[in-house]
Amino acid sequence: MFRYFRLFRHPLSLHLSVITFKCGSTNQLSQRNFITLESFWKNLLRPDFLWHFWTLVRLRYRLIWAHARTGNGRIALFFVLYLLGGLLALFISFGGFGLAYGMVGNGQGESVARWVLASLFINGIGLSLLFGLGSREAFSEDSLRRYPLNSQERFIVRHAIGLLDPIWLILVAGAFGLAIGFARAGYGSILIGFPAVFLFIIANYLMTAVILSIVGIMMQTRTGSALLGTAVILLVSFGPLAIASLITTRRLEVWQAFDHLLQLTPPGAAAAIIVSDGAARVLGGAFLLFLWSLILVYALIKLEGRPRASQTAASGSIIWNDFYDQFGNLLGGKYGPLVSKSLRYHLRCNFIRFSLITSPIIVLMGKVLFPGQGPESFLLISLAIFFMLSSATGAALMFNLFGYDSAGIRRYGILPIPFADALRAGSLASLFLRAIAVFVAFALWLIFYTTRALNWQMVIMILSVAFGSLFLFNALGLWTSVFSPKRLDFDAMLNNRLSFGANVVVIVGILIPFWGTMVLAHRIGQSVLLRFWWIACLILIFCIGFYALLQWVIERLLKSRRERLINLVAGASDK
Amino acid sequence: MDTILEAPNREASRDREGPGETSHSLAISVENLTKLYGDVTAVDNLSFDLPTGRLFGFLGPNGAGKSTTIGCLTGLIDPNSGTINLLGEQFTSDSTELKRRIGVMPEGLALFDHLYAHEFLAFNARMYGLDEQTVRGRVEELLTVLGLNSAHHKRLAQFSTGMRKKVAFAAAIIHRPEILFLDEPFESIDPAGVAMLKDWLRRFVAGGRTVFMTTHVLETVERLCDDVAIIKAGHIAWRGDVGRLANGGTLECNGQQFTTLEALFLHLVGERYEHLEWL
Ligand SMILES: Nc1ncnc2c1ncn2[C@@H]1O[C@H](COP(=O)(O)OP(=O)(O)OP(=O)(O)O)[C@@H](O)[C@H]1O
Ligand SMILES: [Mg+2]
Repeated sequence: MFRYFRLFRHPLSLHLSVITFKCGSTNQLSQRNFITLESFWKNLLRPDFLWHFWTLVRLRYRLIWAHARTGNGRIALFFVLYLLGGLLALFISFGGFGLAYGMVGNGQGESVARWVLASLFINGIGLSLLFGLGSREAFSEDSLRRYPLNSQERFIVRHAIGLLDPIWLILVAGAFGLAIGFARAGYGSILIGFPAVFLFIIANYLMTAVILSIVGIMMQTRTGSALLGTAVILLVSFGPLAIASLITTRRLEVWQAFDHLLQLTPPGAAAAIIVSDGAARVLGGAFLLFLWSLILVYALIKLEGRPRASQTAASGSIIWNDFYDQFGNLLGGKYGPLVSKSLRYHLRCNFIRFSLITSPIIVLMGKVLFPGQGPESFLLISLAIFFMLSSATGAALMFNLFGYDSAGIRRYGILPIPFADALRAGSLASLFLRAIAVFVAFALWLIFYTTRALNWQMVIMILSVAFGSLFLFNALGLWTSVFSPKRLDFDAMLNNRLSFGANVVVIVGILIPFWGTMVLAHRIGQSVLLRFWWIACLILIFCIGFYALLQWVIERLLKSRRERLINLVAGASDK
Repeated sequence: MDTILEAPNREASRDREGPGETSHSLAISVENLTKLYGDVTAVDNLSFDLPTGRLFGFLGPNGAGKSTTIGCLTGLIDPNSGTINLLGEQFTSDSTELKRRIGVMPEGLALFDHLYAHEFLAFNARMYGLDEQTVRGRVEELLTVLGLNSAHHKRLAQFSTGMRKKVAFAAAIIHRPEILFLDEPFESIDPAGVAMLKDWLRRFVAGGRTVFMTTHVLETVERLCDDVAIIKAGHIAWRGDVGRLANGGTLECNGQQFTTLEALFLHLVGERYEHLEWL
């Protein structure tokens, strides 16, 4: 019944009727688990499906366009285009031409292509984990069920539209740059290279989707989350160490073994197609890439077909005064219930749990993130990483405080509290959870990074910068939560895109410390940095002040914005 | 223990006096209320008064502006113009003290889907400042009497439509409000549940409190409400006492007499029996 209503109130309903009438499709909604590989391919080529698909793709861009016509949207679009353009230029010039030209001379063309593509591949997965993979909610499984599409068709539409995401465009550009570069250097041909790049990106997307699905399934249970968290921490912390020690002892063998292994992966297969001239190797690569895609599609179908774990409490009777209530009691009657509700909500959300578990790991990636830096820049890099800890990994929680409330956001309007209290309580809960992440990260940092001498200035600097960044981005999060909110799907690991505004904050919050460190690393030594340790304290004070100020400002602006915010998050079409 | 349900008093509710006789003060007073959504006028210069102790039925066709009116009266929506007085005080969306004295079951229910029923109800009760012992007592009692006890290991997202509605109803009454706003309370609740809710509402108003509700079930309105308004395109098209139907009386509108509320409603809204060729 609800869905029926939504259908007619939804802006897409117009398009729905267009599709229905034009195609007169007789497909009934079928069982989700019913997808097989054969039916998958059959469906891919049905003409009426192609028409549906085309209509939905057009719809997606129409929605983007509709958004771009709003004031906020235009700024965001400009920003995103600017960023995309810059990245494209960067990738094509460095990633493609430069590398290809430089290395082809050594006769190592294919190997280089392999490693470059492998790093693109890993970037694709990493970026998707950061920004969320997939398209908007309008194209989620539940929304697509409203259209005359069967389960296979929904699968294809969802993932094809997910693949049209800007993130993937960046990777496509990088890989195209590589193909063009090699073709110009006389290796392979563009005619073959382009389809290979295309298939490569598909495989990359599929791999990401598979990984995210597995993560999603694991995050549904507490044991699963704990397991996953431990596994990731171990992998990220000891993995590079193990590899490094292997490489120092048996450099050549290890290198060759990796290179060999890589040949069997999608990057290796794509590199073979792009670079080599022999028909046999090209065909072999194509076969391998195709096989990978097939296996991944199969895995994805199987994973998505799994029923959702039911979210039932273990105990049969009501437990009063659990951890959340106790925590709430600490804050008193005014904010207590709100904050404990917020904590309950966030700690039950797979996506947020995942981001909380994984975010301290950024500390361990310092060496990977800023390669080629000496011990002199150790402190600066650590500072940059603790700054990014809040900007890069806390977005799902901080930048969209009401996003998971859906229709529940109306409750704040009914309750005998100023709406600003709800915002403040959400922000408090987010500060609290993210502060835990900071402490865990700090503990990890102490364990893994302080083979060098540690002094009190360092500790103060790191903690000040970490908490300064926490306050700074929670302040900006207040802003995006109110002015650029987005309704999110509580259960999904996929389809959880940030709003444009939040994306802008995240990207700037990553780029500034990143470039800042790259530029300053060779100019400022550790001793100079340590002499000015008190600046970090000033930064912390400034950020807390900024947080307080922004809270004050936004609470004043909230009144005029409140109704719109409620409608956006509750979804005016889904009362 | 302080209970929500008072001693049964089944007779009292039917033998009520006509409108205006029992009450001395106004529960709700609305003047020139207008709400625009772009070009659409959802509520059009609406004015009415409602004395305390009434069970007020607010009827009208889909899209007439019922939910929008409830939204304005409960602080969910800011009207473009007009004044609202609740319990003798001016009400705006910032009136937190007044909000404490009203209970709301809004359109769409406004549940937090990922809480368990008892967590949600306790959250609401605590927000209204009830003490912890009362919170627990009322939550457990409500879940039991509403037949939700066996389901409290499920999150609200996994509740059926009717169960969700019962939870939202419980959240609206848990703090014993003086005015209760209910948007389509009976739709999709099972017959036994509806019978119980009706009984509760009768006792609620018998205790001198006020109910403002919308519904599309006219039969229920005839038997339950004292006072009924039918709105059409954002303004009141008819207002009167439907209690007299029970005593064999009729309802009058535009000089015509109607023996049922349905006949009156169809007269106002216009009967439509168009049929679809292709169906
Ligand atoms: N958030 C909104 N944005 C734009 N228009 C809206 C919004 N909410 C309601 N409307 C419009 O206001 C008018 C009144 O809607 P309302 O929901 O109050 O009707 P209703 O009487 O409750 O109908 P129903 O019986 O279907 O619940 C309708 O024309 C509706 O389209
Ligand atoms: Mg309504």
